Amino acid sequence: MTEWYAIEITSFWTIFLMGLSTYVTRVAGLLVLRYLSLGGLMEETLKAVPPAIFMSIIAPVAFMSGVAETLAAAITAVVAMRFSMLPSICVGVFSCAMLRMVL
Amino acid sequence: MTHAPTDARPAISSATDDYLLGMRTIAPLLVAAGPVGLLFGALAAQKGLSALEILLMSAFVFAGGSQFVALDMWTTPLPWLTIALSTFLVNMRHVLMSMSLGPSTTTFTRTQKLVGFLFLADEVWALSEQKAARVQLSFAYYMGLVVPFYLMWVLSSFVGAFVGAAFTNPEAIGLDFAFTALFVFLVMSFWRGKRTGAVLAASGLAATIVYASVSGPWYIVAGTAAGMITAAICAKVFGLESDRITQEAAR
Repeated sequence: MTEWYAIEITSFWTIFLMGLSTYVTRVAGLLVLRYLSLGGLMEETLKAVPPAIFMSIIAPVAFMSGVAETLAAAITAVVAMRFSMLPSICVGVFSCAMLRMVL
Repeated sequence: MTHAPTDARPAISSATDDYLLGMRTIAPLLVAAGPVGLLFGALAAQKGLSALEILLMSAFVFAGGSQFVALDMWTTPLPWLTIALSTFLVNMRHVLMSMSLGPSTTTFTRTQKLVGFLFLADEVWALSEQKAARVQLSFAYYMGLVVPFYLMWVLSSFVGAFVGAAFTNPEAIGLDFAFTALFVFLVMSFWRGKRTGAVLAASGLAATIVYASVSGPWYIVAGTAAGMITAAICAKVFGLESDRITQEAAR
């Protein structure tokens, strides 16, 4: 068991590079924008990014991991049309746990 | 920093109010992020990372998905280049996120943008976009989202390093589904009619197909690209959404 404060130089270097790579991805979009002018079509296309990313992130869990997850995602979507964020997430998590037990 | 005369814009809330509002908005996600951080710390400790190394990784990287992927590859000797490259790949989606959120940050100063975007985690970005879709996004609100979420992530992974094996199975109570549930909710909040439906169908289909056939995070890139292309085609064929709204308002 190593001491809790032990740091290996290669670990530190790896962590530093991970942080740097992540930061580059996070500011890259800002830099790209400086060289692109936002016209009508460009803006319309960019506006589709948030829902498209959300959909892509949930697709494997929602469509490919099992019936319980697919049903729970559908239930969450229905609840989300009427209720705010916290109740929607709670219903989603609860129904997922229940469905996994039943199915 | 310049201060506008107080009587010029009476309706705009103060920075403190905005900050607190941001904190309130992110609060439910802290409940979901805490266990994930504990799990990360526990797994990392099992891989032989010290608690301080775990703390540093969560503090420097602050991107859960890529941190779990890095753990997966954490062996001796440490493949540092491969880990750094895969971190970049897993986080490629952030390029699109910052590109998309960029135009909504017109009230941020240059430094505020460069510092603020250091913390552009998925959840922070998602809630910022949701805010910006309705009203002007302020730096105070943005930091209200960032600060508690960041502290929760860093501290919970640090604690997880000590709690270790005691915390193992978040699936049993469905907690691993919280992240998906959040994004399902957010998808619904971006619903603007048939065109959103077309975008979602295209990105869902593309992401699923690519996820099933190609390993790695490419499915997110493919799904996002499919959604963007669909939006562009809709705009070309049926005209710009913004024009349509203006015309309908004029009628």
